[in-house]
Amino acid sequence: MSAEQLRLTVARARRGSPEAFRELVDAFKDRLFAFVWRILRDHHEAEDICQAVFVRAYERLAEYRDQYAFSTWLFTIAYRMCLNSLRKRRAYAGDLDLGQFDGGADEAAETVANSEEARRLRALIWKAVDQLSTAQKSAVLLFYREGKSCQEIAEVLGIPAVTVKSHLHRARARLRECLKAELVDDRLACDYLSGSWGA
Amino acid sequence: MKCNEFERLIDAYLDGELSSSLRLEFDAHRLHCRRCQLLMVMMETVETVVASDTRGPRLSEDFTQRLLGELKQRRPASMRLRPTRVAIAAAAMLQAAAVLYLAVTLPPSAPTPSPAPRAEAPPIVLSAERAASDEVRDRFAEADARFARREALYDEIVRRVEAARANLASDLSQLARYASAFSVPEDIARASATNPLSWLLEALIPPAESVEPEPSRTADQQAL
Repeated sequence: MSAEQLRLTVARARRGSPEAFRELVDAFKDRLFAFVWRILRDHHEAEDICQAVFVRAYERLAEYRDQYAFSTWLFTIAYRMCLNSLRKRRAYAGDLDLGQFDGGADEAAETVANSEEARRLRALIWKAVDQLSTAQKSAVLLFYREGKSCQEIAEVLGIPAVTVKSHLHRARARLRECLKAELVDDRLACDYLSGSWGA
Repeated sequence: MKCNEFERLIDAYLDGELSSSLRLEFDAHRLHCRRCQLLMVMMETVETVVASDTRGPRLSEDFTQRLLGELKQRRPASMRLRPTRVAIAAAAMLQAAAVLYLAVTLPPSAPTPSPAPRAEAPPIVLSAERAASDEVRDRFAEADARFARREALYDEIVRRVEAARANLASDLSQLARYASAFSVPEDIARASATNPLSWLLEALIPPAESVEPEPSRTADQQAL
């Protein structure tokens, strides 16, 4: 859906067209679900959150302003609902993050590898992403997956754009640290970790 | 460029924020340093996987249908009745009703030509409202009459004051003429340097500045 088509569809939906809103749901549901699932790592909870996001958007469509991308507005609602869900989860389970355990099982069941090396690499990267904080993970997903700018990510997360850059920087540094020992062969890894290269 | 500096600049490189000269230094180091080559491959792989790996659980097939079923029970905000909108609409309707009521009940200011006699269509007026309207009209008439009487009294007072002032001026001028014509006995005139009635003349006759200056009069007399 082009930007102009999206603008017209949003305008129709704001006038109360159910067909237009259905088009919006079809256009964004998969991207939204992928984002929410990556944050929560629970299939059913992510689906419930997605439904709640679209219901909220339907009810408050009149409050949407064209100055922001429609997807940015949707992700903003979704991120806040994810945070609320994580808070409730922590309240029920103490400080234990159950999502990491559930998500690992989900991903292992769904992943179909092209090759053993590619599967292992992908699993390592997502495992490293999962170790980031919620804000860092959201910033990485929105930056790389959704192609959002730092300013747009700042709108979604409700923080200054400078803080978003800081989150991205720390997330990359942490990903590098997590993957250093994994992405090279044993000999290179030994040399790399011993610091005998370069410099 | 050293490896630690290369690592520090990776973010700026990936975000396309390096200047051309710094980017050249960055690429030159990458060409001959295998450790940094691997580091770059690592980060580019992360980007690729995060951006394009769509593997993972999918939404249920009936997600859209369930969602639309949920939405049927709700209305979008633009179509919901808001308290402020309801209040504004109610106020507008009340105002329209009041205008309509006044238009029906109040008599027209000027008789309009009508083929049908007005008696055939009696106005809908309650007797209590008619009595209240008559009372208000009577009170306004009383107030107007009182105001007219006060105006007349004020005019009479002003007229009498003006007449008294004119009479007083006339009396004073006559008194002044009488005083000027009054003859003083010679012995009294000799004993006094001035006319003893001059104080009365000075009081009754206008001040000296309205009188012609003495030197010019004497000069004219001398010229004559």
